Amino acid sequence: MIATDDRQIPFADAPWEPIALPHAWYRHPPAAGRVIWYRIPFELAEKPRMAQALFLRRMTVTTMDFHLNGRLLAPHTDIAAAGVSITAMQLRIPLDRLEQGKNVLHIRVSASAAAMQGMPRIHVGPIDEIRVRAARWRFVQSEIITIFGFGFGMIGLLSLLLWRADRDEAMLWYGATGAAFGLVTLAWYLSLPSGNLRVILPLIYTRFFGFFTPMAVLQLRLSGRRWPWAEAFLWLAFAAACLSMAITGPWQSKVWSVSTLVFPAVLLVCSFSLLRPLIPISAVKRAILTLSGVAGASFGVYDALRGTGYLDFDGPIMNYYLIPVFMVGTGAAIFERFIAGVRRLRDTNVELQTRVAAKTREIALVHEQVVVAERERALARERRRIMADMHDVLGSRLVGLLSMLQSGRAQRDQLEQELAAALDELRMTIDSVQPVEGDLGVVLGNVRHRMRSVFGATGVSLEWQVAELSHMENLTPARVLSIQRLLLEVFTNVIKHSAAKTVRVSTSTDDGTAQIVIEDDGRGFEAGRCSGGHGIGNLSTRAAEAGGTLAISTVPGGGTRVTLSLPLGQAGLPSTG
Amino acid sequence: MAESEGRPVTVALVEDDDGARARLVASICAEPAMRLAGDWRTGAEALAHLANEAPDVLLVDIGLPDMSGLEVVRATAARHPACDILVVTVFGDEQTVLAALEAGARGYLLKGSASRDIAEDIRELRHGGSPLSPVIARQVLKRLHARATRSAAPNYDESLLTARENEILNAIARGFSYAETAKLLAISVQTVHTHLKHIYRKLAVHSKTEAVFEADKRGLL
Repeated sequence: MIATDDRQIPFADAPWEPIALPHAWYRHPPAAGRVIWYRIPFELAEKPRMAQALFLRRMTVTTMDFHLNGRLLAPHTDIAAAGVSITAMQLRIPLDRLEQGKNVLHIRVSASAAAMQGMPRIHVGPIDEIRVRAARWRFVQSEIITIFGFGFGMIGLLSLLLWRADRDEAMLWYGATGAAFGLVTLAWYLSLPSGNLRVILPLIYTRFFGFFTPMAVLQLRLSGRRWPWAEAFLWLAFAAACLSMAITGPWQSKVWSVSTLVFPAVLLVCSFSLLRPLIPISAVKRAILTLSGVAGASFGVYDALRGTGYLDFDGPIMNYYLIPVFMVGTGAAIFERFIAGVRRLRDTNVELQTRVAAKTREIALVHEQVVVAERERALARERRRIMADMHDVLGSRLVGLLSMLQSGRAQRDQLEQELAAALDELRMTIDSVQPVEGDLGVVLGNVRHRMRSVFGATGVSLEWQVAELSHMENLTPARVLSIQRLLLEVFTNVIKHSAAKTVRVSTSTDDGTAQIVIEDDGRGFEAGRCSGGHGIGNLSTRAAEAGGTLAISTVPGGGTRVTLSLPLGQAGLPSTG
Repeated sequence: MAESEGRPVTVALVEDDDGARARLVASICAEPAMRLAGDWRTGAEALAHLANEAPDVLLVDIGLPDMSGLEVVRATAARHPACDILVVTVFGDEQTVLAALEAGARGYLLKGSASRDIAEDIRELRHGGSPLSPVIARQVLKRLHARATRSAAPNYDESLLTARENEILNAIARGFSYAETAKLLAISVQTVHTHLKHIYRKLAVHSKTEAVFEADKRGLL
């Protein structure tokens, strides 16, 4: 190579400096002027029959002139973005330009001592081969990156969505990394904006270095750490560097080169923080996470070395693969965290359900106890009522008997009668607490059963027409006793006072009310005339006690008809004491 | 069950209360158609005498000094199925009577009843069955229904109540006399008595079987 401004191909005997390609200008800055001529001689065994082509893996300069065997092969091509070293170049060599034996290629370039700038290696070969090589190179360095960008962009978006649901910060940074990668790749793919370097350079800078900060923060979060000051500084530094790319100046390449070293270093440090995590992570995961960070960092370091010429600068740009490798390595850990979170939620759910079930059982038990207590209270109430009843009726009867005896005025028959009545009263009370289960017919039948000898003795013929009655609600012993007493009184009245020959007892149900009708063909009486003694008022009271109503229709000489109406449902119940 | 009207009915009784026993004895002796076969104070005495021979009718007081009257009922019913047993109870309450029926008794007498009532009840009993109180009829229905749903013993295929038996118990529960029940269902009174006998037997059998079943369930057998 030779540095000269000549537009003419320097001669063979000019002071050519032997160099090896690839020639990195950062490391070996071209002396003086900025135009360099390269002279590349090569030999061909025989004149090729197929068209040949030139292939350069990296084209970084704005102008490059190719001269083959003394004649201009192709004019310079303008490459819009200086400093961008992605574009490979193919150049077709017409057959007639190549000769058998010695051939010489001269290349004239304008050089700059910037990073990533230089003369790449040149390949010459059959055009098919070159095409394939170029295509492969393009795929590896361009198309696959687009695929990665799309893929990891989607993963990033998904991760962000999951972060919204789960609020795990690791998901946020993971998602940010992926989404940003996807976005920038997409923007790059869609349009290569030409012209405005002020916009493009910051974009390119972001593309290359924008991910380091979220990745570093992610590694920190994964190890359970928070370095708010360091992180803030990192973000600011990145923003500043990005802005500086928009302002043309000599610092751009310096900033770039510093970035290529600093950012990977930061990532490395943060990745090493995973070796001593603050939150428990399995050893395997820790290893994978650290390695991902280290891999990412090392890719960056490789790029730095490459750009500065310490490694072949026309090698592949590893920065592109940084994100995918990193995201794959961390991805497993990230999603495992998420799944653990989901599992935790599910376990909490199951635990909650178990607890709810236990509580429900507890409540059921308590409810049972309440019901039992209620029942016992009701029973106690009944007991008290029976006691009160016995006290009132039976007690007073027996006391009366006692005083009769003590007074000495009692007749034996009278005593016997009274005692028998007392016993009957007691039996009736016992009867009232027998289970009738809402069947009025049983109550009626029982009264008849108790009185059968009485009926038998008087010779009154009984027509029993008791039909099946519907179930009566809340037929308590208190009500049963009232009904029994009422019936007893009515029957007694009939037997003692009516001189009837036939008594008919019938029942019917009518619109939620049961009716008991006792008719006799006796004397009847004048309604309203007899009170107190025969206890008509008494009967009404008893009927009311039972929650029903009494109706008596009578005609002197025409018999009597007593109708007791009782509601079958809950309506009109007397309050129980 | 039918027997010749000529022979007087033999009646024995177990009653620890001297006064009550005396009155019962008097009632029986007053009846020409009845003859006192024996009167005992304790269950042991009664069982000893009933070991080989039983009267036509046996009156058993529930509350005996040495054992429950129900035991006497059970032993005698098992040994002498032809003997009609009546328990003597103060109140004729459902619990006592049902227990007695399940033990094998055929009815109950109320203590303190007039003498003529006692004779009447015994006569009725001999003719077909002592009148069941409606409350007890209802409970019998309930018991046998409950047993039907509860008993799941494998070799237990006796159906509990026939439709006819159901009807009869229903009528009695409403207060109809046996005669009225017979007329209501268009059958003879004798048929009613027969059905009632079956019902009693079922009660006793079922109570026994259920006791066995329960014991079996608890692994006591």
